[in-house]
Amino acid sequence: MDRRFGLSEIHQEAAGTGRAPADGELLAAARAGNDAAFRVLVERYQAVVAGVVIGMLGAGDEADDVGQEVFIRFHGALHRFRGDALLATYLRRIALNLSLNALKRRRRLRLRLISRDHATSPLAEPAVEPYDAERAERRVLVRRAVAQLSEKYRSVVVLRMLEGLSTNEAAAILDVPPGTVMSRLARGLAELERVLAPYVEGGLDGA
Amino acid sequence: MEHDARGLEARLATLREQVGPASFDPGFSDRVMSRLARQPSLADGLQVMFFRLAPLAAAAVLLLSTANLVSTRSSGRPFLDRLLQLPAVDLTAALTADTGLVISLEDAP
Repeated sequence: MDRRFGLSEIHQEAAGTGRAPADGELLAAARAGNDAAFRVLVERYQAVVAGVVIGMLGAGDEADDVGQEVFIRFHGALHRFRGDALLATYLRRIALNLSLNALKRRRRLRLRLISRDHATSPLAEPAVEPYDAERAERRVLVRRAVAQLSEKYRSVVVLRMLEGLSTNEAAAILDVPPGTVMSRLARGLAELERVLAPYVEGGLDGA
Repeated sequence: MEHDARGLEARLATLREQVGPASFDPGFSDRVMSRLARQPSLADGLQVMFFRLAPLAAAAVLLLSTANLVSTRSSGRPFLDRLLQLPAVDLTAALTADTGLVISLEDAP
């Protein structure tokens, strides 16, 4: 299998016509062993994967590692992807599953680090820092508040809020009924706003 | 539970505005491709398995063939044949096998 990097025929054709190669063309080329085509797919969809992974795990090395693993798994499953779902949906599903696995590993690691004599409850997520009116700080504030939600509500809040998916799209990725998405979202948002309320003067609408 | 869909969407939009887009650190696609290049292929995996199993298989063949040879010399019948309760292989057994071919001396030309 030819795994060399480099500009593929697809890139050259696309560059000549001014048209970006379509996902289908890139997938076919990637399946044939064209690494350049797969790289284009990574660049095209890394933001989609980042939205889910960083939303679930928070920014950092772990999220980067899980993000890479999403694309590695996708590469291994290229021949199985039939195009029934949108590629973004497919990648979000992989990203969510791997993020949930990472959260489980985090919990196991925390429990192993806590001795029976001293532990009364697992270590809490990092505390939300005080609000200081800067937009970047507000962004960090909200993300860290999302990170404090339980996995059940976090998944829904990440997909609906951060990724902007519809209820039906989120339900398809999570494999739950739309009604469940709505109820978890309502509870997740309520919890989020409760956590953020003491830190945001005038509410979250930027006032 | 009654869900105020419009209210939910408004709250979602407000929060989404606060959060902004997420992104990996620069060089993410390079890191993915490097990691991909380090992944062993199926051929590599099969090769590793072959080199692990081949010596064991060769040793087993050598051992069994030696045991067979030694037991044939000492008892007249291979060890494996006795172990697997295989019938003795001689001309009579071959001629009366389940192929249905039976040659009678009377029918012989």
